[in-house]
Amino acid sequence: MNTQEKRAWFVLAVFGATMAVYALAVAMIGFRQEAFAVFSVFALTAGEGVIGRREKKAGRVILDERDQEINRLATVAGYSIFWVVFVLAAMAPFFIKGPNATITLPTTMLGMVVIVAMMIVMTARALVVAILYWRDARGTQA
Amino acid sequence: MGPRPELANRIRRLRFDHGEMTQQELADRVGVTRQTILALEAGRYNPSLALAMRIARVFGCAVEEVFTLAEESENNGAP
Repeated sequence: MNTQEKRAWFVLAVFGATMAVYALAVAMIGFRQEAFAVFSVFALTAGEGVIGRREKKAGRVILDERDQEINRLATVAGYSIFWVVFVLAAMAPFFIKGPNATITLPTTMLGMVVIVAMMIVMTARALVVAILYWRDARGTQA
Repeated sequence: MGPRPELANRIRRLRFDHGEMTQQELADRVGVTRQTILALEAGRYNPSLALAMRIARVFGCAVEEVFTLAEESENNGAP
């Protein structure tokens, strides 16, 4: 497992931990705005930069052109998945409430949209990285 | 623009012919990871022009002697 793949699994693990903590918060206090505060756990993904530092210090190549190509494909896929989710979320109230309805949202929701968007992009990108390396390994073994 | 052409290569054969060079040794000499060499030999990755030229330089031969278009390899019966 190379550095980029390890980083992808790290992000996926942090996402899983974030969702687990959020589920615990919801179980304790219900679907309240305060429960969204646990999304700060996702900030642990900042630690992914530590992965691979030892190999880099040893002078080994940790990311080559093939890894960069996988990174590029995964980033495009991550933003594409986010766009699909965003469009569906934006259109959902129209179909649920109807064209003449009005929804009142707290101002904190705007900031939450940005945070959730970042989570979707990073998690989708990490998932695609893991899938691409898995397919590559399976094809190599075949 | 048509479909991306597939490349066939003789990297594995050339490694063995050059003192049974390991994948890691070749990877270190051309500046990539061993997994990339593995993917190249399995035909699952097409190298950039720069990487192809670096590989050819390691083996002391022309790029065309290392990499060929897949349909040319089939016509010539090359492995």
